Amino acid sequence: MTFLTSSRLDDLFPLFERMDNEACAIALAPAQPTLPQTPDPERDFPEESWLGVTSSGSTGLPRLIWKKWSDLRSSASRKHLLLNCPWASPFQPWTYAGVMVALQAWVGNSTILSLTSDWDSNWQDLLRHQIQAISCTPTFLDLQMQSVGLASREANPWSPIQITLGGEPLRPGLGLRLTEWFPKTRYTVIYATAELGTLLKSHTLDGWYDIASLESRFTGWRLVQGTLEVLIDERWVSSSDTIEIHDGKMRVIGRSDNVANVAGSKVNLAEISRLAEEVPGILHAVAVAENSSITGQIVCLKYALINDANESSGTQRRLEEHLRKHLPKEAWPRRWVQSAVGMGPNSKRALT
Amino acid sequence: MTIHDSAIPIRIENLVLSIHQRNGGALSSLNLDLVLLDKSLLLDSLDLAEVMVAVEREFNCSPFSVPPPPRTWRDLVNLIQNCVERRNPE
Repeated sequence: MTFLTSSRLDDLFPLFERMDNEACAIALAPAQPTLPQTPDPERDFPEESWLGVTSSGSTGLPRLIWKKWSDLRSSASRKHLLLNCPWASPFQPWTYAGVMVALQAWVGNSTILSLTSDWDSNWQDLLRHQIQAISCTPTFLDLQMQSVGLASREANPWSPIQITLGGEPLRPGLGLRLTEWFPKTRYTVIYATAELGTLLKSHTLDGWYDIASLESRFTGWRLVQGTLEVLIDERWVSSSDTIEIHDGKMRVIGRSDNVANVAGSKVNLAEISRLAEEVPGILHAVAVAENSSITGQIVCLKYALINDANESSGTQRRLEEHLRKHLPKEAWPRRWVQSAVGMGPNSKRALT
Repeated sequence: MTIHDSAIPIRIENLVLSIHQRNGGALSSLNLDLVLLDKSLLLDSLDLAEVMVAVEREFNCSPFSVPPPPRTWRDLVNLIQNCVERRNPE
Protein backbone atom coordinates (compact mmCIF):
# COMPACT_ATOMS: atom_id res chain seq x y z
CA MET A 1 0.00 0.00 0.00
CA THR A 2 1.30 3.45 -0.96
CA PHE A 3 0.50 6.63 1.00
CA LEU A 4 0.44 9.84 -0.99
CA THR A 5 0.22 13.38 0.30
CA SER A 6 -0.25 16.15 -2.22
CA SER A 7 -1.82 19.58 -2.39
CA ARG A 8 -2.52 19.65 -6.14
CA LEU A 9 -5.36 17.91 -7.89
CA ASP A 10 -3.35 17.31 -11.08
CA ASP A 11 -0.92 15.19 -9.03
CA LEU A 12 -3.69 12.58 -9.12
CA PHE A 13 -3.42 12.08 -12.90
CA PRO A 14 -0.29 9.82 -12.75
CA LEU A 15 -2.02 7.77 -10.03
CA PHE A 16 -5.06 7.29 -12.23
CA GLU A 17 -2.76 6.12 -15.05
CA ARG A 18 -1.04 3.70 -12.72
CA MET A 19 -4.26 2.24 -11.34
CA ASP A 20 -5.53 1.78 -14.87
CA ASN A 21 -2.43 -0.25 -15.76
CA GLU A 22 -1.68 -2.34 -12.68
CA ALA A 23 -3.39 -3.65 -9.54
CA CYS A 24 -2.34 -1.49 -6.60
CA ALA A 25 -3.66 0.27 -3.49
CA ILE A 26 -2.95 3.95 -2.99
CA ALA A 27 -4.08 5.89 0.07
CA LEU A 28 -4.51 9.65 -0.19
CA ALA A 29 -4.12 11.57 3.05
CA PRO A 30 -3.20 15.09 4.22
CA ALA A 31 -0.61 13.53 6.55
CA GLN A 32 -0.02 9.86 7.23
CA PRO A 33 0.25 10.01 11.04
CA THR A 34 -3.20 11.58 11.44
CA LEU A 35 -4.99 8.46 10.21
CA PRO A 36 -5.85 5.50 12.39
CA GLN A 37 -4.93 1.92 11.47
CA THR A 38 -6.60 0.92 8.26
CA PRO A 39 -7.21 -2.37 6.42
CA ASP A 40 -4.95 -3.09 3.45
CA PRO A 41 -7.01 -3.99 0.37
CA GLU A 42 -3.85 -4.77 -1.60
CA ARG A 43 -3.33 -7.73 0.71
CA ASP A 44 -6.98 -8.82 0.86
CA PHE A 45 -7.93 -8.17 -2.80
CA PRO A 46 -4.61 -8.22 -4.69
CA GLU A 47 -6.15 -8.57 -8.13
CA GLU A 48 -7.86 -5.15 -8.07
CA SER A 49 -6.84 -1.48 -7.79
CA TRP A 50 -8.05 0.50 -4.76
CA LEU A 51 -7.95 4.19 -3.92
CA GLY A 52 -8.21 5.31 -0.31
CA VAL A 53 -9.69 8.77 0.33
CA THR A 54 -9.63 10.59 3.64
CA SER A 55 -13.03 11.38 5.10
CA SER A 56 -13.77 13.48 8.14
CA GLY A 57 -16.33 10.74 8.80
CA SER A 58 -19.62 10.77 10.60
CA THR A 59 -17.82 11.42 13.89
CA GLY A 60 -15.70 14.32 12.64
CA LEU A 61 -12.56 12.19 13.15
CA PRO A 62 -10.54 11.56 9.94
CA ARG A 63 -10.49 8.05 8.52
CA LEU A 64 -9.60 6.29 5.29
CA ILE A 65 -12.35 5.03 2.99
CA TRP A 66 -11.32 2.51 0.31
CA LYS A 67 -12.92 2.77 -3.12
CA LYS A 68 -12.62 0.19 -5.88
CA TRP A 69 -10.89 1.92 -8.80
CA SER A 70 -13.15 0.28 -11.40
CA ASP A 71 -16.25 1.67 -9.61
CA LEU A 72 -14.76 5.16 -9.35
CA ARG A 73 -13.72 5.16 -12.98
CA SER A 74 -17.10 4.08 -14.27
CA SER A 75 -18.85 6.70 -12.13
CA ALA A 76 -17.07 9.57 -13.90
CA SER A 77 -19.95 10.90 -15.98
CA ARG A 78 -19.68 9.92 -19.62
CA LYS A 79 -23.17 11.06 -20.51
CA HIS A 80 -22.35 14.74 -19.98
CA LEU A 81 -18.57 14.45 -20.18
CA LEU A 82 -16.82 17.71 -21.06
CA LEU A 83 -13.96 16.82 -23.37
CA ASN A 84 -10.82 19.00 -23.31
CA CYS A 85 -12.56 21.36 -20.89
CA PRO A 86 -10.25 22.92 -18.25
CA TRP A 87 -11.52 22.33 -14.71
CA ALA A 88 -10.78 24.15 -11.45
CA SER A 89 -11.61 23.22 -7.87
CA PRO A 90 -10.64 24.08 -4.28
CA PHE A 91 -11.32 20.50 -3.10
CA GLN A 92 -8.25 18.79 -1.64
CA PRO A 93 -6.80 15.85 -3.61
CA TRP A 94 -7.14 13.43 -0.67
CA THR A 95 -10.94 13.90 -0.41
CA TYR A 96 -13.68 12.05 -2.28
CA ALA A 97 -14.84 15.32 -3.87
CA GLY A 98 -11.29 16.14 -4.97
CA VAL A 99 -10.77 12.70 -6.49
CA MET A 100 -14.09 12.84 -8.34
CA VAL A 101 -13.45 16.23 -9.97
CA ALA A 102 -9.87 15.26 -10.89
CA LEU A 103 -11.21 12.02 -12.37
CA GLN A 104 -13.77 13.95 -14.39
CA ALA A 105 -11.00 16.12 -15.84
CA TRP A 106 -8.71 13.13 -16.47
CA VAL A 107 -11.37 11.06 -18.24
CA GLY A 108 -12.26 14.14 -20.31
CA ASN A 109 -8.65 14.45 -21.47
CA SER A 110 -8.37 17.84 -19.82
CA THR A 111 -6.54 19.76 -17.11
CA ILE A 112 -7.42 20.68 -13.55
CA LEU A 113 -6.34 23.69 -11.53
CA SER A 114 -6.28 23.68 -7.72
CA LEU A 115 -7.84 26.82 -6.23
CA THR A 116 -6.98 28.32 -2.84
CA SER A 117 -8.51 30.88 -0.50
CA ASP A 118 -6.52 33.63 -2.22
CA TRP A 119 -9.45 35.15 -4.09
CA ASP A 120 -7.45 37.58 -6.24
CA SER A 121 -5.05 34.87 -7.37
CA ASN A 122 -7.95 32.48 -8.07
CA TRP A 123 -9.69 35.08 -10.22
CA GLN A 124 -6.57 35.73 -12.29
CA ASP A 125 -6.06 31.97 -12.73
CA LEU A 126 -9.68 31.38 -13.76
CA LEU A 127 -9.32 34.00 -16.49
CA ARG A 128 -5.76 33.16 -17.55
CA HIS A 129 -6.40 29.42 -17.86
CA GLN A 130 -9.82 30.00 -19.44
CA ILE A 131 -11.43 27.65 -16.94
CA GLN A 132 -14.69 26.30 -18.30
CA ALA A 133 -15.81 24.07 -15.44
CA ILE A 134 -15.58 24.46 -11.67
CA SER A 135 -16.43 22.11 -8.83
CA CYS A 136 -16.70 23.59 -5.34
CA THR A 137 -18.99 24.27 -2.41
CA PRO A 138 -21.72 26.91 -2.92
CA THR A 139 -20.12 29.03 -0.21
CA PHE A 140 -16.73 28.98 -1.92
CA LEU A 141 -18.15 30.24 -5.22
CA ASP A 142 -20.23 32.86 -3.43
CA LEU A 143 -17.23 34.24 -1.55
CA GLN A 144 -15.03 34.06 -4.64
CA MET A 145 -17.47 36.08 -6.73
CA GLN A 146 -18.21 38.56 -3.96
CA SER A 147 -14.51 39.22 -3.47
CA VAL A 148 -14.11 39.94 -7.18
CA GLY A 149 -16.70 42.70 -7.17
CA LEU A 150 -19.05 43.94 -9.84
CA ALA A 151 -16.56 46.17 -11.68
CA SER A 152 -14.02 43.37 -12.17
CA ARG A 153 -16.74 40.91 -13.15
CA GLU A 154 -18.05 43.31 -15.80
CA ALA A 155 -14.56 44.19 -17.03
CA ASN A 156 -13.51 40.53 -17.24
CA PRO A 157 -16.61 38.42 -17.70
CA TRP A 158 -16.17 34.76 -16.81
CA SER A 159 -18.93 32.35 -17.70
CA PRO A 160 -18.07 28.68 -17.22
CA ILE A 161 -19.89 25.99 -19.17
CA GLN A 162 -20.32 23.84 -16.06
CA ILE A 163 -20.60 24.54 -12.33
CA THR A 164 -20.72 21.50 -10.05
CA LEU A 165 -21.71 22.22 -6.45
CA GLY A 166 -21.45 19.93 -3.44
CA GLY A 167 -20.11 19.55 0.07
CA GLU A 168 -22.92 21.41 1.85
CA PRO A 169 -26.65 22.06 1.44
CA LEU A 170 -27.40 24.78 -1.15
CA ARG A 171 -29.32 27.74 0.26
CA PRO A 172 -31.97 29.02 -2.20
CA GLY A 173 -30.89 32.67 -1.82
CA LEU A 174 -27.37 31.75 -2.86
CA GLY A 175 -28.78 29.77 -5.78
CA LEU A 176 -30.52 32.93 -7.01
CA ARG A 177 -27.26 34.90 -6.81
CA LEU A 178 -25.44 32.24 -8.84
CA THR A 179 -28.13 32.33 -11.52
CA GLU A 180 -27.70 36.10 -11.79
CA TRP A 181 -23.93 35.79 -12.10
CA PHE A 182 -23.95 32.80 -14.48
CA PRO A 183 -27.28 32.70 -16.34
CA LYS A 184 -26.05 30.49 -19.20
CA THR A 185 -24.11 27.93 -17.16
CA ARG A 186 -25.13 24.31 -16.69
CA TYR A 187 -25.39 23.46 -12.99
CA THR A 188 -25.06 20.11 -11.27
CA VAL A 189 -25.75 19.99 -7.55
CA ILE A 190 -24.44 16.83 -5.91
CA TYR A 191 -25.21 15.31 -2.54
CA ALA A 192 -22.47 12.76 -1.89
CA THR A 193 -20.43 11.31 0.94
CA ALA A 194 -17.09 9.51 0.86
CA GLU A 195 -18.72 6.51 2.50
CA LEU A 196 -21.79 6.21 0.22
CA GLY A 197 -20.67 7.91 -2.98
CA THR A 198 -23.16 10.03 -4.90
CA LEU A 199 -26.67 9.88 -3.42
CA LEU A 200 -28.52 12.64 -5.25
CA LYS A 201 -27.99 14.90 -8.24
CA SER A 202 -29.97 17.88 -9.43
CA HIS A 203 -29.66 20.53 -12.11
CA THR A 204 -31.78 23.12 -10.29
CA LEU A 205 -30.55 25.62 -7.70
CA ASP A 206 -33.44 25.58 -5.25
CA GLY A 207 -31.82 23.02 -2.93
CA TRP A 208 -34.31 20.25 -3.85
CA TYR A 209 -33.56 16.91 -5.56
CA ASP A 210 -35.91 14.55 -7.41
CA ILE A 211 -36.37 11.37 -5.39
CA ALA A 212 -35.98 9.49 -8.69
CA SER A 213 -32.33 10.55 -8.64
CA LEU A 214 -31.83 8.53 -5.43
CA GLU A 215 -33.87 5.58 -6.69
CA SER A 216 -31.71 5.31 -9.81
CA ARG A 217 -28.64 4.70 -7.64
CA PHE A 218 -29.92 2.55 -4.78
CA THR A 219 -32.28 -0.42 -4.64
CA GLY A 220 -33.92 0.95 -1.51
CA TRP A 221 -34.11 3.97 0.77
CA ARG A 222 -36.00 5.00 3.87
CA LEU A 223 -36.18 7.73 6.47
CA VAL A 224 -35.56 6.77 10.09
CA GLN A 225 -36.56 9.62 12.39
CA GLY A 226 -35.87 11.99 9.51
CA THR A 227 -32.43 10.55 8.71
CA LEU A 228 -31.85 9.12 5.22
CA GLU A 229 -30.75 5.49 4.99
CA VAL A 230 -29.95 3.63 1.76
CA LEU A 231 -29.80 -0.08 1.01
CA ILE A 232 -26.32 -1.30 0.04
CA ASP A 233 -25.62 -5.04 -0.32
CA GLU A 234 -28.87 -5.81 1.54
CA ARG A 235 -27.75 -3.65 4.47
CA TRP A 236 -29.24 -0.32 5.58
CA VAL A 237 -26.55 2.37 5.78
CA SER A 238 -27.23 5.78 7.35
CA SER A 239 -26.27 9.00 5.59
CA SER A 240 -26.32 10.75 9.01
CA ASP A 241 -28.20 13.63 7.34
CA THR A 242 -31.70 14.83 8.09
CA ILE A 243 -33.91 14.97 4.98
CA GLU A 244 -37.15 16.79 4.22
CA ILE A 245 -39.55 15.38 1.62
CA HIS A 246 -42.18 17.38 -0.25
CA ASP A 247 -44.08 16.70 -3.46
CA GLY A 248 -41.78 13.98 -4.83
CA LYS A 249 -38.62 15.87 -3.96
CA MET A 250 -36.18 15.82 -1.07
CA ARG A 251 -33.70 18.27 0.37
CA VAL A 252 -30.92 17.97 2.91
CA ILE A 253 -31.56 19.90 6.12
CA GLY A 254 -28.28 19.13 7.92
CA ARG A 255 -26.44 16.62 10.05
CA SER A 256 -28.52 14.30 12.23
CA ASP A 257 -25.63 13.38 14.48
CA ASN A 258 -23.50 15.47 16.74
CA VAL A 259 -21.47 16.91 13.88
CA ALA A 260 -21.48 20.41 12.36
CA ASN A 261 -20.50 21.15 8.77
CA VAL A 262 -18.44 24.35 8.94
CA ALA A 263 -17.26 25.60 5.55
CA GLY A 264 -17.22 22.01 4.28
CA SER A 265 -15.33 20.59 7.27
CA LYS A 266 -17.00 18.18 9.68
CA VAL A 267 -16.68 19.33 13.26
CA ASN A 268 -17.21 17.00 16.20
CA LEU A 269 -19.46 18.92 18.61
CA ALA A 270 -19.06 16.42 21.47
CA GLU A 271 -15.29 16.96 21.36
CA ILE A 272 -15.76 20.73 21.71
CA SER A 273 -18.13 20.28 24.66
CA ARG A 274 -15.67 17.91 26.34
CA LEU A 275 -12.73 20.30 25.87
CA ALA A 276 -14.79 23.23 27.18
CA GLU A 277 -15.61 21.36 30.36
CA GLU A 278 -11.88 20.89 31.01
CA VAL A 279 -11.56 24.61 31.75
CA PRO A 280 -11.63 25.45 35.48
CA GLY A 281 -14.81 27.33 36.35
CA ILE A 282 -16.96 25.67 33.65
CA LEU A 283 -19.81 23.65 35.13
CA HIS A 284 -21.35 22.39 31.91
CA ALA A 285 -20.89 23.10 28.19
CA VAL A 286 -22.78 22.10 25.06
CA ALA A 287 -21.59 22.87 21.53
CA VAL A 288 -24.34 23.13 18.92
CA ALA A 289 -24.41 23.89 15.21
CA GLU A 290 -26.06 27.08 14.00
CA ASN A 291 -26.75 28.15 10.42
CA SER A 292 -24.44 30.75 8.89
CA SER A 293 -24.84 32.53 5.57
CA ILE A 294 -21.03 32.64 5.26
CA THR A 295 -19.88 29.14 6.15
CA GLY A 296 -23.04 27.00 6.06
CA GLN A 297 -22.84 26.36 9.80
CA ILE A 298 -20.90 27.69 12.77
CA VAL A 299 -20.33 26.35 16.25
CA CYS A 300 -22.17 28.00 19.12
CA LEU A 301 -21.03 27.13 22.64
CA LYS A 302 -23.53 27.30 25.47
CA TYR A 303 -21.88 27.10 28.85
CA ALA A 304 -22.62 27.50 32.52
CA LEU A 305 -20.16 28.68 35.17
CA ILE A 306 -19.64 26.93 38.48
CA ASN A 307 -20.19 30.24 40.22
CA ASP A 308 -22.20 32.51 37.91
CA ALA A 309 -21.37 35.71 39.75
CA ASN A 310 -17.61 35.37 39.98
CA GLU A 311 -15.27 36.51 37.24
CA SER A 312 -17.35 35.41 34.26
CA SER A 313 -15.37 37.49 31.74
CA GLY A 314 -12.08 35.96 32.87
CA THR A 315 -13.51 32.45 32.62
CA GLN A 316 -14.82 33.08 29.12
CA ARG A 317 -11.42 34.43 28.07
CA ARG A 318 -9.70 31.29 29.40
CA LEU A 319 -12.34 29.14 27.72
CA GLU A 320 -11.75 30.83 24.35
CA GLU A 321 -7.98 30.51 24.68
CA HIS A 322 -8.22 26.83 25.64
CA LEU A 323 -10.45 25.92 22.71
CA ARG A 324 -8.41 27.93 20.19
CA LYS A 325 -5.28 26.17 21.40
CA HIS A 326 -6.70 22.65 21.07
CA LEU A 327 -9.13 22.82 18.14
CA PRO A 328 -8.74 23.46 14.41
CA LYS A 329 -9.95 26.88 13.36
CA GLU A 330 -13.22 25.69 11.82
CA ALA A 331 -14.19 24.17 15.21
CA TRP A 332 -13.71 27.37 17.20
CA PRO A 333 -17.03 28.55 18.63
CA ARG A 334 -18.09 31.78 16.94
CA ARG A 335 -21.01 32.47 19.27
CA TRP A 336 -20.83 32.24 23.04
CA VAL A 337 -23.91 31.94 25.22
CA GLN A 338 -23.63 31.91 28.99
CA SER A 339 -26.58 29.97 30.39
CA ALA A 340 -27.83 28.44 33.59
CA VAL A 341 -28.07 24.70 34.21
CA GLY A 342 -31.56 23.29 34.62
CA MET A 343 -33.30 19.96 34.26
CA GLY A 344 -33.99 18.79 30.73
CA PRO A 345 -37.14 16.93 29.68
CA ASN A 346 -35.35 13.58 30.14
CA SER A 347 -34.35 14.59 33.68
CA LYS A 348 -30.75 15.00 32.64
CA ARG A 349 -29.10 18.32 33.34
CA ALA A 350 -29.39 20.73 30.44
CA LEU A 351 -28.46 24.28 29.65
CA THR A 352 -31.46 26.57 29.67
CA MET B 1 -32.72 51.39 21.15
CA THR B 2 -31.17 54.28 19.25
CA ILE B 3 -27.86 53.72 17.52
CA HIS B 4 -25.97 56.80 16.41
CA ASP B 5 -24.58 56.69 12.87
CA SER B 6 -21.01 56.95 14.11
CA ALA B 7 -21.41 54.04 16.52
CA ILE B 8 -21.82 51.45 13.78
CA PRO B 9 -18.51 51.98 11.93
CA ILE B 10 -16.67 52.19 15.24
CA ARG B 11 -18.18 48.92 16.42
CA ILE B 12 -17.40 47.21 13.09
CA GLU B 13 -13.84 48.49 13.24
CA ASN B 14 -13.43 47.15 16.79
CA LEU B 15 -14.82 43.74 15.79
CA VAL B 16 -12.59 43.43 12.74
CA LEU B 17 -9.45 44.67 14.48
CA SER B 18 -9.89 42.32 17.45
CA ILE B 19 -9.96 39.31 15.10
CA HIS B 20 -7.21 40.78 12.91
CA GLN B 21 -4.95 41.19 15.95
CA ARG B 22 -5.85 37.71 17.20
CA ASN B 23 -4.64 36.42 13.84
CA GLY B 24 -1.30 38.21 14.33
CA GLY B 25 -2.06 41.47 12.53
CA ALA B 26 -0.88 44.90 13.62
CA LEU B 27 -3.39 47.28 12.01
CA SER B 28 -4.73 49.98 14.31
CA SER B 29 -7.56 51.20 12.10
CA LEU B 30 -9.90 49.76 9.48
CA ASN B 31 -10.19 51.24 6.00
CA LEU B 32 -13.90 50.78 5.34
CA ASP B 33 -13.34 50.70 1.58
CA LEU B 34 -11.44 47.43 1.77
CA VAL B 35 -13.27 44.32 0.53
CA LEU B 36 -14.40 42.07 3.37
CA LEU B 37 -11.63 39.50 2.92
CA ASP B 38 -8.85 41.84 1.84
CA LYS B 39 -5.51 40.12 2.40
CA SER B 40 -4.21 42.91 4.65
CA LEU B 41 -6.92 42.13 7.21
CA LEU B 42 -5.78 38.52 7.71
CA LEU B 43 -9.41 37.36 7.90
CA ASP B 44 -10.82 34.19 6.34
CA SER B 45 -14.43 33.15 5.82
CA LEU B 46 -14.56 31.63 9.32
CA ASP B 47 -13.55 34.96 10.84
CA LEU B 48 -16.07 36.74 8.63
CA ALA B 49 -18.77 34.41 9.96
CA GLU B 50 -17.78 35.42 13.49
CA VAL B 51 -18.14 39.11 12.63
CA MET B 52 -21.59 38.44 11.14
CA VAL B 53 -22.70 36.59 14.27
CA ALA B 54 -21.79 39.68 16.30
CA VAL B 55 -23.57 41.96 13.79
CA GLU B 56 -26.71 39.84 13.96
CA ARG B 57 -26.63 39.81 17.75
CA GLU B 58 -25.87 43.50 18.27
CA PHE B 59 -27.83 45.11 15.41
CA ASN B 60 -30.44 42.44 14.68
CA CYS B 61 -29.48 42.55 10.97
CA SER B 62 -28.48 39.69 8.64
CA PRO B 63 -26.52 41.43 5.86
CA PHE B 64 -25.86 38.21 3.89
CA SER B 65 -29.42 36.94 3.88
CA VAL B 66 -30.68 39.39 1.24
CA PRO B 67 -28.90 39.95 -2.09
CA PRO B 68 -26.79 41.78 -2.97
CA PRO B 69 -24.42 40.93 -0.12
CA PRO B 70 -21.94 43.52 1.12
CA ARG B 71 -18.62 43.60 -0.70
CA THR B 72 -16.71 46.18 1.35
CA TRP B 73 -16.82 47.06 5.03
CA ARG B 74 -18.51 50.35 4.05
CA ASP B 75 -21.23 48.34 2.28
CA LEU B 76 -21.74 46.42 5.50
CA VAL B 77 -21.95 49.59 7.61
CA ASN B 78 -24.48 51.06 5.17
CA LEU B 79 -26.58 47.88 5.22
CA ILE B 80 -26.65 47.91 9.02
CA GLN B 81 -27.53 51.62 9.11
CA ASN B 82 -30.40 51.06 6.64
CA CYS B 83 -31.60 48.10 8.64
CA VAL B 84 -31.53 50.04 11.93
CA GLU B 85 -33.27 53.06 10.35
CA ARG B 86 -36.02 50.89 8.87
CA ARG B 87 -36.64 49.41 12.29
CA ASN B 88 -36.52 52.75 14.14
CA PRO B 89 -37.85 55.44 11.76
CA GLU B 90 -37.45 58.97 13.13
